[in-house]
Amino acid sequence: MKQQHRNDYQPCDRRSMLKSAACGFGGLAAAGLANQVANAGATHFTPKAKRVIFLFMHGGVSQMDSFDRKPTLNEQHGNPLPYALPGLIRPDRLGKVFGTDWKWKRHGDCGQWVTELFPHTAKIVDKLCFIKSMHTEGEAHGQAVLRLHTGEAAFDRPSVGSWVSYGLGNENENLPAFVALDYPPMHGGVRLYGSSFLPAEHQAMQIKLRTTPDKVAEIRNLHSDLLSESRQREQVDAIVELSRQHAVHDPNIEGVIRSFELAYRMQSIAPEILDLGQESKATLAMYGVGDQPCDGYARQCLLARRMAEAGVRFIQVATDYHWDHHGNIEKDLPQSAAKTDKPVAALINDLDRRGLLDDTLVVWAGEFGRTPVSQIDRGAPGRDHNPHGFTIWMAGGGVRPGYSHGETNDFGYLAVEKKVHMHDLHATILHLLGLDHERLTYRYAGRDFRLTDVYGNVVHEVIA
Amino acid sequence: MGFEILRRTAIACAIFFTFGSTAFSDDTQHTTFFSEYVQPIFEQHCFDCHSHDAGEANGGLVLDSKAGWSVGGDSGPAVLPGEAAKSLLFQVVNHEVEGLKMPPDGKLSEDELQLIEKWISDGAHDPRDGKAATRLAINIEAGRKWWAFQPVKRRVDQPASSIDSFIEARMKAEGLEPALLAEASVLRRRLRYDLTGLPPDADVAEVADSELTESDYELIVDRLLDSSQFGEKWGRHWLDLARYADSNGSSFNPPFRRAWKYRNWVIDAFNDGMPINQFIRKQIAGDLLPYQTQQERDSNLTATGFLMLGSKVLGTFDKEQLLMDVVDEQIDTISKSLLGLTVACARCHDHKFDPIPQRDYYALAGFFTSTTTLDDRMGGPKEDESDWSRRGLGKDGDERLRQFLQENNYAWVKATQKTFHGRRSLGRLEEQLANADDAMKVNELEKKIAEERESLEEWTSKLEDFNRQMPDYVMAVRDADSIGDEAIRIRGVAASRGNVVPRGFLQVTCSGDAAAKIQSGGSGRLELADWIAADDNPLTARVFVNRVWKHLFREGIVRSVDNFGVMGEVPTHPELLEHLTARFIESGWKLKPLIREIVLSRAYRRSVAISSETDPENRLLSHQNRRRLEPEELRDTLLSLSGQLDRSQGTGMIDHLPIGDVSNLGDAIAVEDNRRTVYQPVIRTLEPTVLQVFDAPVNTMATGQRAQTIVAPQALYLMNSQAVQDACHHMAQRFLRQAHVGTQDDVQIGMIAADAFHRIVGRQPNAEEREILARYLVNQADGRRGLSHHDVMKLCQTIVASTQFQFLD
Repeated sequence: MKQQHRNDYQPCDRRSMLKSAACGFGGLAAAGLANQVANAGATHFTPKAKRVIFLFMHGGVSQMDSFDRKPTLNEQHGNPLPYALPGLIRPDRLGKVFGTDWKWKRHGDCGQWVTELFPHTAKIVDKLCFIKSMHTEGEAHGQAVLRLHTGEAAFDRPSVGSWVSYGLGNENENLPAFVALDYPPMHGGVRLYGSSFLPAEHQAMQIKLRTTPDKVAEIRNLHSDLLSESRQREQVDAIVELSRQHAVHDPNIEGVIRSFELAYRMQSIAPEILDLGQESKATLAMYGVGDQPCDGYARQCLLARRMAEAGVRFIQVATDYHWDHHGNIEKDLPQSAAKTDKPVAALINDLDRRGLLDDTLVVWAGEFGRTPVSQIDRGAPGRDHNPHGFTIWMAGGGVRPGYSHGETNDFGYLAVEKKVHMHDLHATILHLLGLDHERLTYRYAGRDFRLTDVYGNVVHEVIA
Repeated sequence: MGFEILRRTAIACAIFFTFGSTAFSDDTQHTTFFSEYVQPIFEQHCFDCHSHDAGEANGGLVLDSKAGWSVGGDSGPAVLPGEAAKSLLFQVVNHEVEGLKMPPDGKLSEDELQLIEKWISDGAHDPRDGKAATRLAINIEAGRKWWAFQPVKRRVDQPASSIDSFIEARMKAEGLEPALLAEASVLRRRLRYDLTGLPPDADVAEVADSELTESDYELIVDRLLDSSQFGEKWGRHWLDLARYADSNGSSFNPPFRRAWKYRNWVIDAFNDGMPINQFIRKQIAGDLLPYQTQQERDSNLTATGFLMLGSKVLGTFDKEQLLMDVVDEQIDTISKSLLGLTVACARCHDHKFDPIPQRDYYALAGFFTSTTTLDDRMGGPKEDESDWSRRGLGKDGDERLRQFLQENNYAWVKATQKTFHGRRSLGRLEEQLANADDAMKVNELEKKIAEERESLEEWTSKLEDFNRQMPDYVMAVRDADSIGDEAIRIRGVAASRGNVVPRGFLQVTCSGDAAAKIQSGGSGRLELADWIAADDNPLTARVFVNRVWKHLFREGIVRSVDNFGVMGEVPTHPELLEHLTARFIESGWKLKPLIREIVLSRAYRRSVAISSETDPENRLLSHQNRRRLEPEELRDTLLSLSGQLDRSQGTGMIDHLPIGDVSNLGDAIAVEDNRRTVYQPVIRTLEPTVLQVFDAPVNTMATGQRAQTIVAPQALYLMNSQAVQDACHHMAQRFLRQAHVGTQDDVQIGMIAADAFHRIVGRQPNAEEREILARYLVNQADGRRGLSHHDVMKLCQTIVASTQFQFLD
């Protein structure tokens, strides 16, 4: 009987892995095989954060409808923008200045403005550090998303998380240093969590959660459909015993043997970490697990916290591609906000009450912001892409809580005060982790590469 | 604060003073103005990157002498005395030049700008002697002394020298004992994988291991070199360097519908023994080469697919930037794969380490800006593929193709999308039907399915018509309509043009003038190809021969196989590399004789057993190096062992994909096919798991050395993946004879275990291995039912997961 072999094309954990300094496997494998041994664990200065949870708002959040209040927009609503559109955005599809009808209110001791769309985030603003003067390059999603994740769009470069894994190594024995939850296949796909020329063990392991049939987190090939646990133990023992006969003192052979032991360990431990059923009802409710429309992101955020607890260095969590409000923003933006607001706030509170927020840096960011003028070619109006000025926030991990950094102009269009470029954000993230972005280098093809290329300044004002 | 006020006053006075006073001669007055007010600005803001003292002349410019700015850097004179507005220096500090705003850490103050403006307007008086930046420029002459830029030399006094004489002489000098030759079965497996990427074929009767003679071995070598699997293995090596893929990747990921024709051209070229210099020339300038027959012409066009396969950011709005990025990718690929140099480092500035000035980069860039890779519709994402330069095959191919596309393009694009999405939605409807329980719903679904099916049939037949009528074509370049030399782009920014550089070659490799003598008036790619593939190009043949060595010894004679520059390694056996390279060139750049010579050497045939502790990296090659099977070999072997490998040559397997971005199609792009892995489509960012997990090449950059990792997902793949389980299931069906099902005889079970090992690993297990395998299988078969297929399946999986199988001794 001839059965066709199926090439299952899936964007998945390309060469991702557990680099475990503790058991020596990573070191051995690197010494034997990899091009360059990572300088695991050695920071350039005392770190404030040990790990990062990166919450990626895929599509680009409208800053002027969320956190960057611009009364001018409502005053000028319906008037033409009083200056030329910057850059190469397509002006033909853009209309007039477009105000916002959502109610603004000051919150917390810090008095941060937040619209009614983000009631849960509004309650935690004293724990957040906003940057309202972000800017980047790339009018299209692909370019901007790649820049956010790798610092570069035109060339294949390692992602932020892989640099962090390379720089800091792994602090746990059972999971990889870098995981990506529900990352999208488009706008760069695997490059958004890839290691490019860095040794492949620094690539993220892709975990699917929101998209699996039962919304249960899934790591590829983690379970055997054919063997019982005891039969599998016997098999792993046989594999190891057989391989030990192969050769002695060969670090590569040793590495493979260890990889089986590690895989087996992960097989028994990872399901526990992935299992949200271990959380109390109160915790599940706090995140909004089971509630619509936030169930999906609630599960992701909760899993992110479990990963952080388990010692994963860099956890990046993507929303669905739902923030891209070119049209009908009035109906769609509240939906997007409702999908994420509660889980995100719960994550911050949960980390805080467990004492994890101190050394966990949380970054909330989209690839760019949106225009203060309306986009008019999609029926009901929306807002177009805007890389020239947008808002992100960070929390924990040594950032200054209750602080807002930088400003856009009166229309919220262009970052003007204390501008922070994407490279500056990357430099700052590395800095908080104790890494000097100018010294964290990797030699490839005769050149020393950096995450920030030849750019980037640490934004010291946002550091507590 | 106090200082600031003081300084502002001084500046105001200075400007007033020079306007108002006649007490000094003009010259003295201007000189004083320069020294007091302008030079301090230069010192404070510019000298770090533009002075002899700092040892930096970025962009070729120094500002520490009059000659420095009057000769200027890459962009010519920086200051035109009396004309501030036209002076590049002023434009740059006044932030008028996009992409070139100085100083990089922030704009000068208004006062400082005024001072510079006034200084230039008054005639730019500058009393300082000294040179322009020449002595900081790269010294090409000195650079030529690096070993890799020297002409290939052969020691004529050693006509009888051989690979082993070089290697063994060196070992003897260092007091190392070579390892013994590998056992016949081990050697056969090694040879078979190295030459064809497949396991030794147990079904083909060969000489018994115990009786393998020297001449038998030679016969096997010749047979493998002549087999069509040879090109499939060695073609794959080249495809790594050609960053081969069947889709664009990046942020907009349309399929490369005809890339496979280039892939097959590569495989055929290796099988046909095409001389490597020809192989290279065709890929760079096949469209410009003379030809005898239409077939040859078509084949030459196909070869230029090499230049087309880069991953491009198609969404780039700035078309000039996109063009320069495309060119950069081409230069990077060509220089790494063929010259073993990182020429692309010289895009923004002179190469930091190698004697490659920025002007050499733009001398090369001119060939490619004069070449069309993306057609005239270059720009943002398009729903169709017409961005790719396509060439029609056959007589008047271009014209027939153009006409066809003009008439049918829209309808064709629509047909691909309708059929693809129609098939998907039909699948979904049928699934719904299978799960539907209420009659109304069933009725409704059946109706929808009938409609969908009808529409799909209609579109499928339309698409088939299109595919039949469409003139055959390939992805291939053509000379551009506008041809010319390229301007240096200051700091690599497309919009900042400097001096125009005549098209030419790397100066360090040319003894005389490096400018290309372009006869035809075309792009000059033919001349470029001739220079790269010339016998006296010091790099090309060396780099290629070293790659061949690397594939057979796991490490190159130069271990940094993609970098022969000063940051690369030097050869471990320089004379051997010279010897092999010289012979390779003399043989007419023939690959098979080179491989033959290497695999017949004792050095190649040695055991992997370490014979000495004094050379841990085995630089002296006292033993052969162990290597891991590559993912293609792993998959092909599993298919082969389970009797499922389809050995026919693959063609295009992505015709079912719609035109446009495929990143989001997920499982729908899966291909079910049992041909060798080299024929499976490579959709960038969506690779099959086995390739992702086991270090497939980075398919967006030329890769001469794949990453080699040992990670847990590999173990998980071997333990738990459907693919491995299926393959082992088939192996069990083949290995366990019906007569032995249910046996409880431990001896017999032990023999079955040993036999499975022999079939999978290509040699008999030794006593310890035999004992482990037998114990495992007996234990699995324990119980009343006796030995089952499932038990043997588990055994096969155990062996497949073992390092004995995963590695090549």
